[in-house]
Amino acid sequence: MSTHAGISITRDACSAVVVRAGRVRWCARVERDPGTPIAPAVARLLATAPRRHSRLRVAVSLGASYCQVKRITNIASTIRADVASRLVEQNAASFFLRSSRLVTTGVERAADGSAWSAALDGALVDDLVDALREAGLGSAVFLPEPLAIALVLPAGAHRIADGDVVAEFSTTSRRTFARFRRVRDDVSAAHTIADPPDDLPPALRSLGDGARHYAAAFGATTCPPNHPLTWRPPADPKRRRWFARLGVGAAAATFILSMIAVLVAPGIRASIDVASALRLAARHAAGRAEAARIETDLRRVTASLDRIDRFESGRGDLALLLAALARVLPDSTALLSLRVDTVEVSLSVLTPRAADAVSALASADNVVSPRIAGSVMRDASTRATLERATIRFRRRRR
Amino acid sequence: MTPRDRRTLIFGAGLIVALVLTAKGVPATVAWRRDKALESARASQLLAASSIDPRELRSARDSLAIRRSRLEAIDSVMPVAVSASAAVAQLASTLEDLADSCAVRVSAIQLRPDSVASSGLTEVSARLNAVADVAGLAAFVRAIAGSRAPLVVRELTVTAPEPAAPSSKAEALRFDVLVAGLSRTAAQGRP
Repeated sequence: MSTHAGISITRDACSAVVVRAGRVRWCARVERDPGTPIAPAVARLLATAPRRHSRLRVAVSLGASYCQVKRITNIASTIRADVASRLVEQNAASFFLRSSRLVTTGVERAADGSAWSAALDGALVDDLVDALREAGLGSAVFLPEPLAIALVLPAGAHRIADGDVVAEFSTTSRRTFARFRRVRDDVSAAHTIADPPDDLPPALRSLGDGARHYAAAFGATTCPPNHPLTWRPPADPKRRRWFARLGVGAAAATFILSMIAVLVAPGIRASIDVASALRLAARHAAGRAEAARIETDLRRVTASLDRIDRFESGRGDLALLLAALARVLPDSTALLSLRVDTVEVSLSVLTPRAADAVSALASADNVVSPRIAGSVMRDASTRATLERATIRFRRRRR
Repeated sequence: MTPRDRRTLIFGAGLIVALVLTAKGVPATVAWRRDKALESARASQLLAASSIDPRELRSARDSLAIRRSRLEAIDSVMPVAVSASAAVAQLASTLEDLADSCAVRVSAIQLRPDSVASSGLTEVSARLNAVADVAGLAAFVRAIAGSRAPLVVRELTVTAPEPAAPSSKAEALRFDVLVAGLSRTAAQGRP
């Protein structure tokens, strides 16, 4: 929530209010001598102000003696507002009475299409800008007092006096001027508002009998900062130069830092990766040790099982082989000798026909390539004619 | 010294310092960056080598447990001997017991001292000369094949002295059998 400060400068007094959340938080008024500089009066006025707020917005209302408001004629309604403002600024002497340097505001278009502009006393504005900067209020908006009053009071005809200058003006419901007249008059009241205090807003009425003295200052706080009839001082050239140098310095520093980052960033990234990888590797060390131990045990157990399996694979083969021999050899065949090793079997038989024995052996499952080794001998020692032969074959392993 | 001279001096000094810093600092920084990149690559390789898939580790652990249980089941029936000689002696004793149970008359048992030890297992063998009929020989061979202890017949030589003998005469087959046995030597321990 922003805080608004409004300052009213007239020929014989300076007044100020601080408004926050629509309520007057502080107000002060000091008398001044019109012939003396404005800075001491402003300093005295702001000496009792509350602590500066970082978002304080300051608007300064200049009394009728220091401002002129005028309807600008002969400006076509099709001309853009900024063009019209420059036109008025560059031809200020053509539109306003000029006894000293003037600063002009923008041009405001009223509802009836008329164009209005204002001029402020340049010397006073310069003094005020310096005084406000001294007081720590860097940027302020300046506006004519009739506008400040128009923003506070309801639409209608109003009359304000500042010294021997009287401004009579009427306003519309849109807070624009419908008529304005500035005359020099010999009035006794130094600064008056013709309207009764009942017309003042409640926030201002709460100040009591002196509320009318703060009407312009309060109205200045309600003025939008981009109102056409306001004037904002240009930025301080020193400050502008300082900001320009700061920008160049920041750009140079950013460039140097960027170059350093280009050089250093990959190395820093690699360092981070190294640390991360080493941390993860250390975390995996326990798992790696367990995996190595499991692998060693697995290798030993597997070797033992393989050894046992190889040994067990030969068990029972011989019994099966003998059973096969008993099954396939003809009943008329007598086995003289049998020799079995792990690969080959050799048997000597006494049989009527050795070839029949070989054929019979060939039909056995675990017999491979049976053949007669050596010669077949006729054995006539018995009543029947028999053949004595040696048969060899290879064993078929499971 | 005028302000212009002072500005020129400060600017020149700053420029010289900047040039020196650039000339010395940039190569050093580039070398440092290169070293860090190499370190990073080595660390990445180390990490890749050390990373273990938890699923593979779990699978290996399960496989080891299954194989161990199988080996323990086999170990429970495997004879344990303190040395290869003791294992051969146990084998000879087992063969004699089997021969007695199968009505085989043992003539001689020749112990084979040569043995092969591997993975805590020792294979020993014994040659047995005996005489038996066909039924006894078959029973003996079947007893060896079906024994709880791991035994296997490596060689068998059978001779029938009288193949043409009358059936009334008692059959006598002379056979020579080489039997191998597997035993665990206690000194090796279980894997």
